[in-house]
Amino acid sequence: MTADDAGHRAAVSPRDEAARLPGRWRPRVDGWLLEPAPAERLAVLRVLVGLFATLYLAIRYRPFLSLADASASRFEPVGVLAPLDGPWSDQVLVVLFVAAVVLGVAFTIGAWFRFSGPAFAGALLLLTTYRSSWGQLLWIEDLMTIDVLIVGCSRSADGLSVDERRRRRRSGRSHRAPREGVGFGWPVRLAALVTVTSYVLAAVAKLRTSGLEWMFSDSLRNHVAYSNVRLDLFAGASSPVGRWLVRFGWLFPPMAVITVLLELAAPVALLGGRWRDAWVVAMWLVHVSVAALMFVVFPFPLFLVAFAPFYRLEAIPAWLRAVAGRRRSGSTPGSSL
Amino acid sequence: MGPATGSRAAWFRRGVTVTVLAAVISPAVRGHDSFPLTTYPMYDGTRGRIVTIATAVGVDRLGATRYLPLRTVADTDDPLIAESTVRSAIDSRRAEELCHDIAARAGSSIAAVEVVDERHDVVTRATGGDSLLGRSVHARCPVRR
Repeated sequence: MTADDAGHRAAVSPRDEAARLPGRWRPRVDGWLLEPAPAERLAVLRVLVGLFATLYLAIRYRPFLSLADASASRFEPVGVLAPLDGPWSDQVLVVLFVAAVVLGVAFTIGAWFRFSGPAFAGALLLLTTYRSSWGQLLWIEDLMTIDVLIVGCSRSADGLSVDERRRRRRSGRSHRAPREGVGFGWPVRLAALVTVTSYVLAAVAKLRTSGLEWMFSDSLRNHVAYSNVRLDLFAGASSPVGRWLVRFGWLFPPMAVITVLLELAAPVALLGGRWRDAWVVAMWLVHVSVAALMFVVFPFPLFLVAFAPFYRLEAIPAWLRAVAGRRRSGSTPGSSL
Repeated sequence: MGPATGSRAAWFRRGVTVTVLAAVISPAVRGHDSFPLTTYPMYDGTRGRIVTIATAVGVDRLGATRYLPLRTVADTDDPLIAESTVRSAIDSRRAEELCHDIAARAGSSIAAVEVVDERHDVVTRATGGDSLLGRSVHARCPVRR
């Protein structure tokens, strides 16, 4: 061993050293999965998924509550509701729905989170599962439900929350104490892994069911045409863009190939930086295209909430504080002159 | 948090991560779709241009037919749910029951409701052509005034 070698070895950190050992994947995976993060990263994710899920319920109240009038013969319970013998009574449905909306507000603002976090996650799981228990699974709601479960069962109200403000008031502190820990970063990483896995599974489903034919045939064009005709046959408005584009059959195989490749490439979003940004923009454009061509809307990714776990979300409140600080200093008498 | 506790917490988090991911992947491994754990089968099949679609039509006093809105057919704003409601009623021999439900929601401008399967060339229809290749009526019921 030369002196240079020895010097180099001395400069290597214990973590780097561990990476050379057998099973060296573990420090690398741990370094990413268990990276400490500020409490605000998880808190912002709580606000985003909580706000999205609560608004989703409130705006879509009719499809949920109209299940009270649905024929019991259509009831086919799935998931956690599979053991049910029959539909809920109208009262149970209405009470659970109202409770979920109220809990969703508490979840979003981080109030009584030890209760409201898991309770909202549970209520949302029950309601969305119930809605999927009438003969048609609603895939647009699954990622939202899983993300709310992850965030609701973690310490996501240790920042930007009513609970945190209450704790500060009790302790007599006027400023936020910056907090950082693995417990604030890991749930965000877990949500990112679930998002990535869901896209890869979507590609695997296409390849397993249809093989390469899904990409290299007229299948995607027929799917787009079918979605629009179905809207027609239920006297609804179909997509003028989709109907127009169906004329150009040659466009669809390349679109299908791009879609499947992007889904399979989802893990690059975990690399961060430009790879992540490029993938998120491309995947978002796929969702925009699906909405424009087929009037099929996946709101969770379309409003970018599904992609939020890929980012250092603590930058949002920091930016908002900086903007507010500039406004305050700009409104002082001295600076207004 | 001491090292021992920290290590336990790390193993707990690794364990939960593996469990959650295994749960998310499990429907694809088992080939069983459910909620919220799913195989993500949206549009995963190949589709030909000739398609059979389950729907409902209104018939006026002169015998002319017209398609009925989503709300009338299945009290929903989602065409996927509407078609699945009609399809499942036809497949489980409940078309008559669904027909009466639709008739109760339909306006008095129609005289009867039919629950039907229609065969269409979807590309021709999407581009504005005449696409109907066939229609099977599974139930017909009057609209009461």
